[in-house]
Amino acid sequence: MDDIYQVILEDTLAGYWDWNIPEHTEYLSPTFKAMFGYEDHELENKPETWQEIIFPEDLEKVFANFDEHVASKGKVPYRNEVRYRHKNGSVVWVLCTGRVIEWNGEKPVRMVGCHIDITKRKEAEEQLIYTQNFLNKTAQTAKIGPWEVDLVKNKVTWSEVTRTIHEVDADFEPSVEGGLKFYKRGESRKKVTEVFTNLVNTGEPFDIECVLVTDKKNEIWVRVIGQAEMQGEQCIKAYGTIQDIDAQKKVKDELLQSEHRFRESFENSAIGMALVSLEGKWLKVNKQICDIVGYTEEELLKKTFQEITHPDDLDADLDHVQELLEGKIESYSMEKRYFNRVGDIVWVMLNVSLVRSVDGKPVHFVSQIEDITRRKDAEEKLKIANDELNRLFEALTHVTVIATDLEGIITHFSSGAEKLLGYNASEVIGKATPAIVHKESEVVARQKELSEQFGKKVEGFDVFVELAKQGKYESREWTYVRKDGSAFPVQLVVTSIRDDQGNIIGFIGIATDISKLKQKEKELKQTIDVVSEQNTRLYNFAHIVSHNLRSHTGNLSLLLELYQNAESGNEKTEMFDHLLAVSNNLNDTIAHLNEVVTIQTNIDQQRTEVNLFEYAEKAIETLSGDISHAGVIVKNNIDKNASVNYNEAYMDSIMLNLISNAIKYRSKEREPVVELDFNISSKEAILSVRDNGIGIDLEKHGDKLFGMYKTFHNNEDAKGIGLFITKSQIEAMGGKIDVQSELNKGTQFNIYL
Amino acid sequence: MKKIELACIVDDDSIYVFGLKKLIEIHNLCENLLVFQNGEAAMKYLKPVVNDPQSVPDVILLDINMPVMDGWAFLEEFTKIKPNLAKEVIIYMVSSSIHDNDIEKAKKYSEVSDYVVKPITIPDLNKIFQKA
Repeated sequence: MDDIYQVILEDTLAGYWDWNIPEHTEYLSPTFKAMFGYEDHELENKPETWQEIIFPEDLEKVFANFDEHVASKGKVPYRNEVRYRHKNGSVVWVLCTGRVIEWNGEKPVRMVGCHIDITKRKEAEEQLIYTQNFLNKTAQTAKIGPWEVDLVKNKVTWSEVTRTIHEVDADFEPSVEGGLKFYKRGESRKKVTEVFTNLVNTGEPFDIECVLVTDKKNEIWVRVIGQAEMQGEQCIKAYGTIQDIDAQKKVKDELLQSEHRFRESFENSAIGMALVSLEGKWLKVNKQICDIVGYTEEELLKKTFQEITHPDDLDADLDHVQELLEGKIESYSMEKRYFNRVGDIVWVMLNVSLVRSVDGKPVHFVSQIEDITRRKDAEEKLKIANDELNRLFEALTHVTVIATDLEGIITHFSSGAEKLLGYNASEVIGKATPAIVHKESEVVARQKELSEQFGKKVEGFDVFVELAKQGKYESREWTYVRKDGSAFPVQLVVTSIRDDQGNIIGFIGIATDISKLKQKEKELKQTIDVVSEQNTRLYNFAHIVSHNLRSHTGNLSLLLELYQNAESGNEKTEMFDHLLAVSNNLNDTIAHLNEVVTIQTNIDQQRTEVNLFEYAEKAIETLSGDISHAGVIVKNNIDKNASVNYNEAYMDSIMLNLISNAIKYRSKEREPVVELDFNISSKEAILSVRDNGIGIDLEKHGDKLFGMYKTFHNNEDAKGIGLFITKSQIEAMGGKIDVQSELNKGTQFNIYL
Repeated sequence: MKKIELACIVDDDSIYVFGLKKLIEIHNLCENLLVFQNGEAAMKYLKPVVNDPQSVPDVILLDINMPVMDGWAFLEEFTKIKPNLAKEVIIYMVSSSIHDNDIEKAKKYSEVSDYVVKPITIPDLNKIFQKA
């Protein structure tokens, strides 16, 4: 019997074992041993042999099962699926069954069993479990839920994922009608109902996307796929999947929208946009770019950007392109020039970025192009204007341009300022305020003036800019002080510098050197003085003429009237004598007036070098008769070399007049003395004639002393013409005369030559 | 018409004085006539006789431009003695000057009745001597 079993067992490739429990021996068949990769002789026939190669955790299971089998007297079967370690290390699954076949009372004596290799089956099972798990996981992850409608039993089955998608509880009982109601009323439900009915009726599968309203009232997009199981013409089962594609759908919608937006923005962009090939060919251009370069879209697409780029800008552009392609930069911007269709330069601001494919390969460029020609033109014009202004500032050497910040610190100091003021720009810029070039006393005076004007304290730098701050234009005269301390007058204009918003950001002061102007003004004033003096003289002269001639003509008419009415020859003779006297007086007066006119109308009298001492001696000589007759002592104290540039005839006249006056008005109470002096200083040259005569009451006559026909003494020789002519001559020479006198002490005339 | 008792001429122009005297004589404009070469001489006469109505002239014909004391200075002095005068004295400025300054200045003196520009005429004299 044993042999037969043995043959069978050997042939079925099942191993068997026979265990003598009391003797502790166990026969292990060669098949048993071969199952784990061993030859028959390699393993001993004893229980420890298999116990050593079984997985330890399975051994415990085996012992537990054996104990149960024994305890139940064989009613609980001994049957285990256990793992052994193959000689090559792999796992061998074995179905091990056995039974106790001999008993000694309660104790088992002999037990036999067999081993069947179930490794393949076990592996298949594991593979199946793994696959199922994998599918479940996948379905869950992809949110794909299977469903099934058994049309025969009218039973609907939903998987866990399907329930999740519907947001229903695990105990929810689905039905066909109930299931359809989850689809959104309207288009979605109508469509699902339609395709499902069609599937049931014709077996035609469907695959649709529609909107599902979950149990929790969330609207989601789902993809529903349905298949039919047919039995002949009859559909007995509908099954398929439902997939939550809401997120995908939304992403897709957004993608569509963003694509649309991109197209919109590309077409309607305010700036030029283009897709450009890696070689520089225009692939896609919008209207703006066409407008900028003046080509039609069709024309432009036949060109490359290199063709219309200004040669001076091309290299820089191509360098950037290279850097983009090499991945050194993400994008670049540059200002460059294109030639438009008619060959004019168009300035643009170019922004370029590179589009790469998923695997990082460059695909094309995206270019944004903005027309900045006008800005460039404006910049160019501004630059020219600035340059011109700067050149102007620098060229104006008699003008100082000083700019400051709000606090008054100098920010610009023109070369004119450097030249005129003696400071280097580097000495003052950022270091000083314009106060250093101003005369302090003027600043203090102006500070007081402004403070009073505005009823608040105006001090420091504000003194210069208070009006400019108030938006007023200020131009006034100041005195500038050079670094060396010397000063000169300027006309200073101060204005504020403002930014785009009109906020004051600084001040600029432009000062013009008006030294020459001032000099001219002074000269002009002198001329005006001379002219107005001349005018006054002429006015007075007109009155003198009028007065003097009138007095004679008055007398003439009076005498003539009396002559006509004279009754006797004696009377007539008397009148005639008087008429003769008037006639002589008139002649004298006219002669005097003529003399005065001659003096006053010849402003530019001929001048020569006149030796004062000699002219004084000459006058003394001429008057020697009078001098000796009156017993006058004349002292000529004038330096023998003293000379002035003067008119000879006038000097003669002046000397004679003053000396003869001094003799004429001598005092009889003392020995008459006349002294002549000449004092010269850097400021003036004074000739003086001093006497110790009767003197003149200047209180009474001072203002009339030099008038025509004014006499102040009861002197018969007094004609009132001498001093008038002397004064006229002195003034005609550009000098003046004054007098000091005290009654009964003497008189001194000072002639400022 | 009441005849002027005493008239006075203050002027340094001898020919004018001669002529004027003749005219006054011819037209018999006053009883007595005083003539002074300048203001100082006139003042010298007036000062001692201020209280004597017989000696104080009724009218004075005063020139402006004179040596020593001119017409203006005389007026200043006259203003001082005026309160003591025995009777009212009428003063006429008689000058060749047609200068506005002189005419305006004369008006400022309340003592001066009028300003007459030389040559003085018979109608002028009649008017002057009638007023007095």
